[in-house]
Amino acid sequence: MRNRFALTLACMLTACSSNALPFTPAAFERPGDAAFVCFDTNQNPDVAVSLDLCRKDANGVLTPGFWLHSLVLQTARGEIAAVDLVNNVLLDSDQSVPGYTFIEAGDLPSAIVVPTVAPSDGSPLHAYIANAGTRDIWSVAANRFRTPEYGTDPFAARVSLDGAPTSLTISPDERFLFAGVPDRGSVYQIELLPDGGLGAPTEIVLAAEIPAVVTGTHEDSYARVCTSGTVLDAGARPTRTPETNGVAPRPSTLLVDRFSETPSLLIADSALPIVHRLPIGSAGLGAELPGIAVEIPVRDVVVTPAVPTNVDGSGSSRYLYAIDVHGDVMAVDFTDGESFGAILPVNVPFARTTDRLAFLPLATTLEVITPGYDVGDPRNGLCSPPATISIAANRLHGVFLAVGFADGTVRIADIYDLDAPCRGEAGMCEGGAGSSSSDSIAFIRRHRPRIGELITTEISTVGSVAFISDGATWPISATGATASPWQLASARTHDRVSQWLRRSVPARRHHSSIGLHAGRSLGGRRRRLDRPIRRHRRGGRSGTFRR
Amino acid sequence: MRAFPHFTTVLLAILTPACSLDQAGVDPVQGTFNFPAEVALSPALAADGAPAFLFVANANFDLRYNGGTVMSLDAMRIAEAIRDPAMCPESATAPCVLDPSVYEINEVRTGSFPGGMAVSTRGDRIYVPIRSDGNLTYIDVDDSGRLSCVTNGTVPGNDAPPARCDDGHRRGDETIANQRGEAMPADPVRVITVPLTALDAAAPPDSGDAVIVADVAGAMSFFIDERAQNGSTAPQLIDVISGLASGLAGLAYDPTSQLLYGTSTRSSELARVGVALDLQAHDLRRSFLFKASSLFVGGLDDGRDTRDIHFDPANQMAYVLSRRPEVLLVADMSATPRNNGELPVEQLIGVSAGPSRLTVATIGGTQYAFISCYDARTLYVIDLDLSREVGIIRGFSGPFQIAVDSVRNLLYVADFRGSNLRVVDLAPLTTPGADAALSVVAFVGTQRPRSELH
Repeated sequence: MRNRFALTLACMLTACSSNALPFTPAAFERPGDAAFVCFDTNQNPDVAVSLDLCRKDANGVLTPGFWLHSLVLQTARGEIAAVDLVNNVLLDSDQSVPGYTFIEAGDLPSAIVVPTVAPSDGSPLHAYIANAGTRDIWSVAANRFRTPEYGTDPFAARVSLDGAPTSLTISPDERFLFAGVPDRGSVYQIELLPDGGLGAPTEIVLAAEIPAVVTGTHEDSYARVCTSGTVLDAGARPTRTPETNGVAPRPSTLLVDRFSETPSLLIADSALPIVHRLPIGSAGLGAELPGIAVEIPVRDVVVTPAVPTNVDGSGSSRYLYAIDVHGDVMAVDFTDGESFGAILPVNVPFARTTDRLAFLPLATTLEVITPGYDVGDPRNGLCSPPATISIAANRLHGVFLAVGFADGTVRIADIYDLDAPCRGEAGMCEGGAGSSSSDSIAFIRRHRPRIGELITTEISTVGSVAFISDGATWPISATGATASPWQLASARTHDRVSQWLRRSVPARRHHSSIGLHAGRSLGGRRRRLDRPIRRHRRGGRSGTFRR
Repeated sequence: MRAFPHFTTVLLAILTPACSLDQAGVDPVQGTFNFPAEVALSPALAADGAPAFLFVANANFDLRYNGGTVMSLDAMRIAEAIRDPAMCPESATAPCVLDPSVYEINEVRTGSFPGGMAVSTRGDRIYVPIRSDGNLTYIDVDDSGRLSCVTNGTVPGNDAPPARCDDGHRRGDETIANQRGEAMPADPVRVITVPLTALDAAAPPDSGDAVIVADVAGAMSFFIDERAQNGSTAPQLIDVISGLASGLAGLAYDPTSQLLYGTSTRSSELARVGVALDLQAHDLRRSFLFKASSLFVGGLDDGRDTRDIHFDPANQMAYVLSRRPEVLLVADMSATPRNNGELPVEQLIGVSAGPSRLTVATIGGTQYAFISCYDARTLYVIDLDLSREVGIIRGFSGPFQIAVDSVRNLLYVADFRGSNLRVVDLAPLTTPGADAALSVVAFVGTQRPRSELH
């Protein structure tokens, strides 16, 4: 009996040696574009409502039962995932299938748009998805994400295009969709019909003529600088030969400029050095306006609302920011006038390039954020923070440029800080209301990385540092000086290095209102916004000095 | 007590034959795939200018057999079968399945675990570094695609059993390098061939190839395979260089800088190695490898695992397949990097989990990158002109090495986990505005379920 048991056990043990397939729960798989939608969960079933209903009130309180959601494209699987951002819950679109499942979209979903205002006739709010693989636009009732309907096609309508759409946006009156089709060099306009219907697409081929570069300069004295150091002005713009990546336009990103008196569609062109402009009227897109010559093709573009020209709130200016195909961020004057379209010098003379923002990593996405900013009254809220919030670098109140980078960080550039007139330590800076610990020195300048920390320690060497050139060893002193021509240049600029070395800092706190109406994902890999300040690196090595 | 001796006797009777030390093991089954790790096409030798033969190296990863194999398949017949409506109807809802034994020309037996595979410039020799043996095995290919790796030089007949490559076709610890006290390191991961004329402009045309093998421990071995006008000689190990970035994975030669680049799975370093030839005496046996300064993959999160690299000298571009993050890095080698010593990356194109191999080919006048994502079990097709993906092919078990027949518009993927080849029809890429999605149109070999391998 015992022998039989032992033999049986031995057989069982050998049979149990094969590896079982591990269960892999569904998760985001290469998430792409995202859009926001508000659900009223007080109703049964839940209903998608206008986005404003999910906005916090003046006291920062959400209306109970109104839950903000995000619809995120899963580009690797061709699906749309829904996330409840209030309860931090991933929604299962088909509970009859084990594990999380998402609504299937077309092949290679590339962009998604959800109108911000629900239809006034009570019909369901719809989401619209551009599919680059199947070359079409689909619409789906947003309610389906909260209340799945099994056994029925979730998509209300489909319309085919002649090319692969890679970007999608909606007109200000939310009557038209605009889809960018790079392989045709055109933009498609699709009228939105009741009940999620889609009208026949109309193709608008973009112009291929490259406009002349605007050489005027825009006077901008916006600055709040309260430091004992020397402040460097931006260097002169370099003379560039316009670059092209082909002969035909290639729309990359679409942006509706809602802040202009006449709304327009701005189109970043990744082949030609142009930002295209098309006016948006009651019938949709009009004839193309003269484009903005940017000298290098760009991948992404954003515009600011009108912001005061000066720190005291006077004057009015607008700016356009773009990521060029080399991954650098440029600033362009978008103010009506002689210098409209001029690329602005924004960096110090000895920078890698003077007409690109002083960010080093590769930029991948950007967005203009306007926390607490009243577009109708730019001076509203000037230096009037709530009593519970102290003025500091990590308080974003005004208009800023948020840029996502390939290194996983999101960094902020100053455009208009409503707290600027009172930044800086009280008693040390005129009008300053900051403390010595949180906001001692103010250094705010337009188009510059937002300063979070001033490095007061001078650069020094650690140990004996030297380099070898032509067989000779060159020791480097604590002042950075040696007898070599390279070090002579370093010594000349050394007294300014400590002032020039600034670190931009991401927002220290994830503010729930930042990006509420961004409507575009920041892309890249998400990182916590409270991560430590990263040291500037050169040559891949950290430390206080380079070897 | 009485039952115990019987049980012991039975147990000993079962175990004793298995304990013999002279077991030859089980030979691989001819005409079948067994964890195909490498796939390569011969140079364009067919009448239509298309590759004539498809070579597959099987890893024998589960050590079920006593070694791996290298198979030679008739690429033209496979393509004809796929395009034949009678065999692979377009209306079929599932890919058609082709029996590899039908299309196999012949095969030879090698050690297990090939660390790469490369074909000579003339297409008459295959180089396969074998990890189990720690050597470079070379296999001769005749005009009909038959493989041979035995010293007597006779090509086996049609019905002969596959021959096992003899010691004469295993190189790595002999002659010149041995005189320098060097031997090929034991853990090869990639191998490439570079025509000798690319290294030495004065070299006679068609004079042979340099064969470079990368080792995971951060070393490269340099072989020279010279070809005489009449007949050929064996590859000779000339030099071995170590101290490169550890975890080497990808290997490529940049004709512009004339440097070899190696990617690392353990650091952000791109190892760069030069080849110094004796150009005065034109004695290639006096050549050696030297370290050029490394480049670094910086400005990413975190850039410390790159798997493959490809150069486009015409446009001075480099494409690096990164696993951390999971992207294809597009670098303009003519641009000034953001930091000194960094790869001048200008764009990131996202792919899925576990990107493993990168192949670049021109289809219909457009350059595409084909990327196998092993963990995600997908194959990405990226239009390098548009800088975006144009297709994601799903449903693989373990896609790994890729070979592209750009004349017949077919792509071969070695499905390592499924032990078969998948064939993707690339014809839709040649038709502007075509709505057909890319898909697997044929299996070569049946899907053989395996346990998850980690």
